[in-house]
Amino acid sequence: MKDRAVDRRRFLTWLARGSIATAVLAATGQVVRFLSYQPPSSASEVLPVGQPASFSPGLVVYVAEARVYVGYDEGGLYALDAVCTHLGCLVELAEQGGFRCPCHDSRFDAQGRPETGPATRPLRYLRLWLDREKGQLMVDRATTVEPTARLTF
Amino acid sequence: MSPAMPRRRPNFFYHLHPPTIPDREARFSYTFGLGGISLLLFLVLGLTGILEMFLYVPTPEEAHLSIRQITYLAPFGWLVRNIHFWAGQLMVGTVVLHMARVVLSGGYKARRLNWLIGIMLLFLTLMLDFSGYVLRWDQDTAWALLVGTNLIREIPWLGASLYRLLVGGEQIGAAALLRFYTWHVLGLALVATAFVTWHLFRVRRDGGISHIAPVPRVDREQLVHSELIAMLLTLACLVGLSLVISAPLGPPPDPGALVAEPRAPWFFLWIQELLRIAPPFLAGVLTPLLILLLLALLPYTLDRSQEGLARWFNRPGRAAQIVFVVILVGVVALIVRGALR
Repeated sequence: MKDRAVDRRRFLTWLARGSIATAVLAATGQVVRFLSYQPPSSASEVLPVGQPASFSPGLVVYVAEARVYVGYDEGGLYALDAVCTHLGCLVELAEQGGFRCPCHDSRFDAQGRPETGPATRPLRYLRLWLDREKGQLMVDRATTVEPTARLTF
Repeated sequence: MSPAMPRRRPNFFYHLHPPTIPDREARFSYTFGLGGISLLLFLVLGLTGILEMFLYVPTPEEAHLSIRQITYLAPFGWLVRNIHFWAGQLMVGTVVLHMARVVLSGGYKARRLNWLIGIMLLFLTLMLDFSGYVLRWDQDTAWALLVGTNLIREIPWLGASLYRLLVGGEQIGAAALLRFYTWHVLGLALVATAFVTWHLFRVRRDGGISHIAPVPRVDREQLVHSELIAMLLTLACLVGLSLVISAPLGPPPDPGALVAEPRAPWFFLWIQELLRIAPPFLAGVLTPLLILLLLALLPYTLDRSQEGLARWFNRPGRAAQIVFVVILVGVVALIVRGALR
């Protein structure tokens, strides 16, 4: 009889502790979900990079508003993302050709392929097209294209 | 108070101490007052931080402008901001030196829990400094924030969720600034206050600064006096620095601008150096966490002997002392290397 009373008390104690622990755990999970909420983003990833006439063959031009390098080679125009694939800094044109990231010294060749430094992935080629109504070249930062893709007129 | 003096009711600051203390606790040359100075800086940061909260606006459009208002328009705002800045920088130093004192003089023996609380406080100090740095919201801090949050993404499995939790979106924006602000002024600050209180309570519960049991005890008077002097000297240094060197404020962030040499804040320059040579997760996340873990485990692994308690460069703690000094020298060397680039 006595043993039973102890057992019941023990049982209730563990039940109480278990409920509290479950409640705390569940609440923590919901707090994490609450904090992970993201307001819907309105920022557009489609940005103008300028008129076609402002680019000339053989030159690579940085367009700050879109954070891309627009190049013009024998195939045509292309947009190379300036965001370093290592940790997101903006790469600059290196003196010896290609690109260099000033944050951690990753180097890429003129085609955006990693050469030295910590970056392992090539720079992204972004979708580039001519918006005939606006007369503007547009880039879509959210869409990656093949490194061989070129825009011709 | 010596018995010869007329009895006075001890004031509040006396009551913060036990009536008698182990004699070496009163000796400045044993502790260099580093824990107390860190506490003072923490209090100064709280006070100046509250003042700044009245004028700082945590939105991308107004953050930079409101700092300029604090700095250039509000009466003595520049002084408040400079003191907050310098107290934050100095605190990283005093906390690390405090830790060095504890390791090198075997202070953590027989009070390992407080050592762990201290490790937590080191972590919180660095997080508070970094989140405060982000609030400056200029070109430099924008890059540090971008790199720091992209590092979180590199954590396997958890990276994407942690990034969302921290940044509040797919990229840095208004949500991120508000989150860092709330962490800085409330989330981290409250947790740090709780841990500081616990840390102090443990010191008092353990009978004062670490010492070997039968030790002469002296009246608290002398300690209160040296604390007062240390406090005044620290405040003088703080105000002096704040008068001479202003907290930096660069141009507002421009997400498209090419920056020549983006730099991490000085206390994370060593991580930036590591990131140049090692994969991001290893260099930027795993290494710092492993260093903290290694430090936390020192009194549980390399330095378990109770002998050498409260003795500078005691023999049983030699291995732990060497490990600590090697880590410290390594980190400082990398910081210097990064700064000289």
